[in-house]
Order: sequence, then structure tokens, then C-alpha cells
Amino acid sequence: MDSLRNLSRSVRIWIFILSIVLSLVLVFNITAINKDKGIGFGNGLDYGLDFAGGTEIWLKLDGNVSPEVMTIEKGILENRLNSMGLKDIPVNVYGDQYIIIKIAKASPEEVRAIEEILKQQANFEQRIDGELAVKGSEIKIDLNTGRSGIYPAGSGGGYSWEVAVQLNQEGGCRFGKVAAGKFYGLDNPRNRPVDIFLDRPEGTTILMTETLHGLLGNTSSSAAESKDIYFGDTAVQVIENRSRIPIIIVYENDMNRTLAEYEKYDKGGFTRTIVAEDDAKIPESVVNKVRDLGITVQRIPLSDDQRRSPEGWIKNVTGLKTSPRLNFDTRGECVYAAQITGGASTRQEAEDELRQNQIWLTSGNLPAKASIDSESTVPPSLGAQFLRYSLITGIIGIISVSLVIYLRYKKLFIVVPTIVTGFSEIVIILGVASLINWEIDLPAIAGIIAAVGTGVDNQIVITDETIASRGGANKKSASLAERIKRAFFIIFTSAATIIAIMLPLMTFVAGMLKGFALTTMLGVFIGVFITRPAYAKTIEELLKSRE
Amino acid sequence: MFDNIYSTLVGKVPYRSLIFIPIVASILMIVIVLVNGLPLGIDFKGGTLIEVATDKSFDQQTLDGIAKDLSEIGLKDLKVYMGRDIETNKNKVSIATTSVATFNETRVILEKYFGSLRKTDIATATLQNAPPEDLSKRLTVRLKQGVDVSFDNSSKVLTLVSIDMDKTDLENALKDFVGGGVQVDLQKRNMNIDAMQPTLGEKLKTDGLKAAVIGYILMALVIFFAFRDLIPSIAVLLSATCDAVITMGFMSLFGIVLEPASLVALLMLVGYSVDTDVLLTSRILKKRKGDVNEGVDSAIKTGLTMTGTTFVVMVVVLFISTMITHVATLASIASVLLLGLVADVSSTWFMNAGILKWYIEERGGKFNLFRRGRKK
Repeated sequence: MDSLRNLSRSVRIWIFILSIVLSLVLVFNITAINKDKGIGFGNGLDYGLDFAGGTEIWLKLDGNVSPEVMTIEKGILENRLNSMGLKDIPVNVYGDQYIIIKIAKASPEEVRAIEEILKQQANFEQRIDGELAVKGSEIKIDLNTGRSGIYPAGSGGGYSWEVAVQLNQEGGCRFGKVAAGKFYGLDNPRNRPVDIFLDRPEGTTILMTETLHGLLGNTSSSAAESKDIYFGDTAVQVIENRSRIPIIIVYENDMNRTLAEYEKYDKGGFTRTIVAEDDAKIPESVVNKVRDLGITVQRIPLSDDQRRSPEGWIKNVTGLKTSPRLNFDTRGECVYAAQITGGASTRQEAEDELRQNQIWLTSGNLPAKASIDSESTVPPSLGAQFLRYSLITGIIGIISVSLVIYLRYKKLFIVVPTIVTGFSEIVIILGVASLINWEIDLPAIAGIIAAVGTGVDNQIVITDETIASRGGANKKSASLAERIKRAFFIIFTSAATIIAIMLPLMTFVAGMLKGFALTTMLGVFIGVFITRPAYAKTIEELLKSRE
Repeated sequence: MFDNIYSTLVGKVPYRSLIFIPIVASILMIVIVLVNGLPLGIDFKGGTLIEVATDKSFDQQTLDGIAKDLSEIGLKDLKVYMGRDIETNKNKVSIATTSVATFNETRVILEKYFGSLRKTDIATATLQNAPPEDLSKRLTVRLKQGVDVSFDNSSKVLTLVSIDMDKTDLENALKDFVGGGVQVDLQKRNMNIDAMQPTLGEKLKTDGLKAAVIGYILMALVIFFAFRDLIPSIAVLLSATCDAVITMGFMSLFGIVLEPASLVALLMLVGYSVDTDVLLTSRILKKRKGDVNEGVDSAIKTGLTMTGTTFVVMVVVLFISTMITHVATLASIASVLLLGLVADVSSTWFMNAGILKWYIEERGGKFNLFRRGRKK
């Protein structure tokens, strides 16, 4: 009873208990760290590819690139994946040549599409009033000169940014010709916009009702969007003239007229159509008639908000990214260098815009070419099986540890704290992993095994030193305090050694080794500062009470 | 139990001869690794791993035939072997090659042996009417996994393709989305192919080696700092090095491939090895004079318990993961650790203990070259 009272007064024991309780709360998802899952063991954890399933792709860039180029390359890929509607796909950089993409829960078709997106260069176009001026392969931005940057804007405050671009002969001369007559004077509001498109849909038409067409025909400005895309044009003109995407109107009472339009465009290679409205306005039966012509149909309806300010929707369906205003006279001559400028009210915004524009401008011409160097897939059900088996193996492992400890000491009061400590180390490691959103995968499990393994080793050292100090074989042995001190010298040295070995592995951004290193170190820290002091105290008290 | 192990041992064998056992073993293993090489997994050298789940059982002759056929389309260093697929519990044929191969390149040959191969689950169902247009989206949300939907208007056959589908879940989902009583025919994926370019493998290997070398240097610094005594520190490092070298020799002998999992095991091993060495050294250095045997006897009792627990756990893990669960990563870690622990027993208790005994008994705990022994 004395020992229990002493234990309940020990700070170490309380820290230990508190850590376990907190970890359990996290691991059981009681705090709802993972909102989509309910309460249950393991629901507070994030699982890596090994257990959750998914596809991992390693992209190799053609040659080693600088960190700046790497950032842009990463941005382009994220941009492309986002524009496909694939958000939350982690894109990670490894070294100066590799990019790792992890895709979870995608369908096989999506995975294929992603592969294509990653390898392909985006279709970049600059168009002035719909005329093609520059293609992606013809433009490049100069990342290394001081000509791109951010400057405080003059009188009005705020910041302006500038990206310098170089055009090759073909692109430069086409741009010169197309831009002729579109410039009316420096900063003149009549200057035409240079529309920048990424993956503008080719061979595509848009199907809409007469009502919507009328609405868009009258929209030529918007309060919602800070960056104007209209430049005096109507929404219909932006779509039809500047983006070169024909609009077809659905006449429900005279479907043949609509279908005749489709047939006319079909001959011109327009084989895809976007339906701009939902079921209620353009019924599925109508859409099916279009499908029967062999046209691929995609429905991207405008929301109610978008009907009031359709810029977002227009950008989405046309691939229009930005429309800087032309601000110099080409006189029809070839242009080999140009600047694209813009402004924002804060430095951060200006930086973001600059980065975004750099990404757009280089999308058609990735700074470094990318190829897929490795691809592996783990099906989710297989991953779940892996996880189950790892758990079973772990539990049987701990049972066998307790058997060995029992054989050695023949005392249950030593076995029980050892096992409890082992389990609690696992729980606290998982708790911390949940807190820092670290993904649990096979290497993490290996790390936990390593950490718990050294944990048990250390507990044996503590136990033996404690027993010896209490007059085991050698009566003249050192005092308990000295013994415990020695035990902790061994523990700290072994912990420091493990951390020394693991630390360099943390430079591995990817692959097995980083996860292993991190969980092992985590386990060692938890062991040294939380569980082993508590264990030492418990064993000491238990031995004392049994004298 | 286990009292006076070391005293008894050195009573029979001169302790200086014991010191050389791990050293000779290490030299032997270095020769073996140099001659035999260390087999690398595809993560470290690039290549392709194809796994096919099948109901059939193949004899060695057929497996050789597969290898021969694949070598004719230019795949190098082929290894074809049978195993068990943990997901379906069917037989699994694994094909490893150092070449980079795609599904399409190998498909014709493989289908000759295994029948039709699928990288994805494919489900078909005959419907009365066309499914709702957003079926793909709804299924993806419901099944938490992307599903590709296609519908043939003339035959009314709905085809669903996904990396992973469960028949019951799918039938329930279709019941809700397209109406009741839909019969689903689900064909599970039966093959997986992972490929890695050699350059990437090379890069990972180099980085792994670099990290291991830096880790080793940092570990040496920690040990020197902890003991502040040259000879005991060297003994600890030598012991850890012998463990790693002997284990790599075993890997070369038994054909255990060096891959991330076994590299992890090697690092774990060095960690465990240092644990027992630190225990031994700190116990012995407390008494600089007199008979070291008594100290080793007490340390060995603790040390063998430590090694014993790890050993037993790894035997259990190896047994479970090779016989029951077939989780190759855990089996690889366990087998490397087991071999390493055997090496560790000899390097700690034969060599490290012997060096310390010599240091304390013959040199009085001082080593004059650097005059850095603790003065007491």
C-alpha cells in the first residue's frame, strides 16, 4: 500500500499516465482530428500508402535543376493536378532531380490521366482577340536575370511585379503581327488584352439555353472579380471570339436546328461539347441526342452565383488564366523580349501573383523535362490486410517478450510493468504521430518495433540494476541512487547512439528510411523522457514493498 | 540461472583467443561479400517486380519456362518464384528482373501461363436503363475509391473499373443508385507491376550509403563522448562494425537482398548491438582494478536477457510473416536481425569483453599512447 501511495505522489508517474490518456484520446479520434472518421482505435491516425493503398509515382527531371526551378516545376505540376480537380495530391521534391507524387483513392482512368499530365507539357497559348500569337514552345522566362521581380509601385502604394520573357523567332514574329493595331498608347484602356490559356479545350463547343446566352451576352463587367477579363467585351465574346469556343444554343422545340449546328461543327473537328446547365434546364434526353451524334459530352453547369458573375466559370471551361493588357506597339515587327507586369496591394499578393504567372508562362515549356522513373501501386484492401497482420504480429511479439522476461525473473510484478510500458510506448508514439499528422506505414511500424525493442532492453537494465542494489548476489554493491544513475547512463548513451544513426536518414525526403528514422527517434525520446523514468520508479517501489 | 557464464568460459578457453573469433569471422565475411557480392533489391538497383495471383500451382520447370520466355524479350537477371498472396490467399508467382518492363510488353507471355490478367478490379452488371450521369462520382464517394464508369447503350452492360472494389459494397451501392436487384459480376485484379529505373535505384543506394556513413561517424562521436576513454570506445565501435559486417556476409551467403527493409534491419541491429556493448562497458569501467570476470558475469546475465528477448521476438515475427501472414518486409527485417544477433553475442561477449579484460587487467585501465585514461 505504501508503494502505491508513493507512486501516486510521483510526478514521473503522472506525466506517464497523462501522456497515455492524451495519446489514447488522439489515437481513438475522440478529438475528431480526422473529421471523416468516427471514434475507434486507430481512427485518429493517418495511414501511408502501404496501409491506405494508392499509387506512388517518381518523376525524374532531365538533368539536375536549381531549387528555384524545382519550386516552379513543382508549382506547375500542382497547378495542373488542381486544374484537373485533383486537389490534395502531395507533390514532394526529392534532391535536385526527383519529384514524388502520391495518389490515393484515384480510379485507374484518373491515374492514367495523371501520368499523362505529369509527362506532357501543358498546351500554353497566348491569343490576342482569339488570334494565336505565341505557343508554349516558343516562349521562355528568364529565371536567372534580375529582370523579373517585385517593385514598390509609385504614388498609389502597393506593389507591382514583372516577369521577363523571351520569344523565339517564330513566336516573336507571329506575336508582332497579331498584336499590330491592338495598341492605342501607353496605359490606354483601349489596349487589347493578351489572353493566356493553359489547355484551352480544342475541338470543343458549349451548349446552353437561349436564356443563358442572352444573360452572358449582356455581361461585360463584374464586381466579384478583381481582375477584369472583359476589356469591354461581353462574356459571350470572351468565350466565342477570344477563346474560340463556339456556343450552340439548345432549342428544345426545334432540336433538329441544334443538332444541325452540331453536325456543322462536327465536320470542323468539334467532337466535344460542354453542357453549361443542369438537368432542369437542359434535360438528359436532349443531351442524349447530342451523344447519339458521337459527341463526347461533359456537363459543367454554372452555379447561381456564377450566373451573376460568370468569370470563374469562363476561366474554368476555356482554360483562360490571365489577361495582361498589351502595353507597347509592335508595329507588326518581330518581338524577342517582353515583360508581363501586374500589381497587387500587398507584397505577399504580388509575390503570389508573380509566382503564379511564372508557373503559367513556363507550363507549356517545363523548365526541365520530366519522365516517370518509378511507379508502384498498393491496393487499399491489401494495405488494410498489411495493417491487420502487422498488428497481430506486434501483439504476439509482446506476448513472447513477456514470456522471456518471466522465464528470467520468475516474478509477475516485473513482467507486468514491462509489458505495460511496452504497450504504452506504442500508444504514445501513435499519439504523437496523430498529433503531427505523421503517416503510419510499414517503415513506421519497423521504427516502432525498433523503439520498443530498445525500450525493453533498457527496462531489463533498470530492473537488473535495481535488483542488484537491493542486495542480490553482491551485498557490497553501490547504492540504489548510484545504480539507477548508472542504468540511466546506459539508457542515455544508447538513446544518443540511436539518434546519431537515425539523424542522417532524415535527409531522405522519401522512401522507407525517413519514416523509420523518425518513428524510431520519436520512440527513443518518449522512452527516455516519459516511460523509462516511470518504469524505474515503479520497479523501485515494487521491490521495496516486497522486502 | 546464467551465473558465472563468462568465468566458466574463460576458464576453458584463453580470453585472448576469443577476441579474434569475431574479427576472423568479419574478415571472412568481407571476402565472401567481395567475391559473392551483396544482392540488391529493385529499390536499390532498379528493375521490375511483377506479381501474379493464381489458382494454379507451377513446378520449377514451368517457372524456368516463364523466365526463359521473358528473357527472350530482353528482360535481364530474371528470378521467378512461387509464394502466397496475402490478400487472396492464392498462390502468387513473383517475377523480378533488373530491366524495366511494362505491363503491355510482358502481357502476351504472362497470359500464356496465367490466363487473362487484370491490373484493376473490373465489375460488370446488366441494367434496365442507363445509369445516372453522376454514377461515377457517387460510387467514388460511397466506396471511398475512384471508379470509372462506362455504359454500353445497346447491350445495357455497365462496366465499372477501379483499383479495389468489394462485391457486397458495390451491389449495395448500385441498389441505391440505379435501383434494386442488380447482379454484379466482379473480377478481382490478379496482378501487380512495380517498376523503377536503375538511375533512381542508384541514387537511393548512394544516398542510403551516405546516410549510413554519416550515421556511423556521429555514433562514434557519441560513444567517444560518453566514455571519454579511447580503448573501450574503440571496442564498442569495433563490435558494432563486426556485427554489421558479419550480418552482410550472412546476407550474401543466404541471398538476402539489400533493400530498404533489410537496411533498416541493419541499422536496428547496430542499435541493439551498441546497447549490450554500452551495458558491458559501463559495468566494467566502474571497477578499474582486479578481476573483470565478475563484472562480465553480471553484465552477461543482463545482456543475454536483452538479446534473448529480441531474438525470441524476431523468431516469432519471422515465423508469423513467412508461414502465416506473408508480409515480406517484416520477414526480411526479422531474418537480418536474427543473423545479426548471433554475430552480436560473439562480438560483445567474446571480443568486447576480452578487450576490456585485457585493458583493465593488463594495462590497468590506461592506454599510454594518448595518456587519456581516467586517472583514479
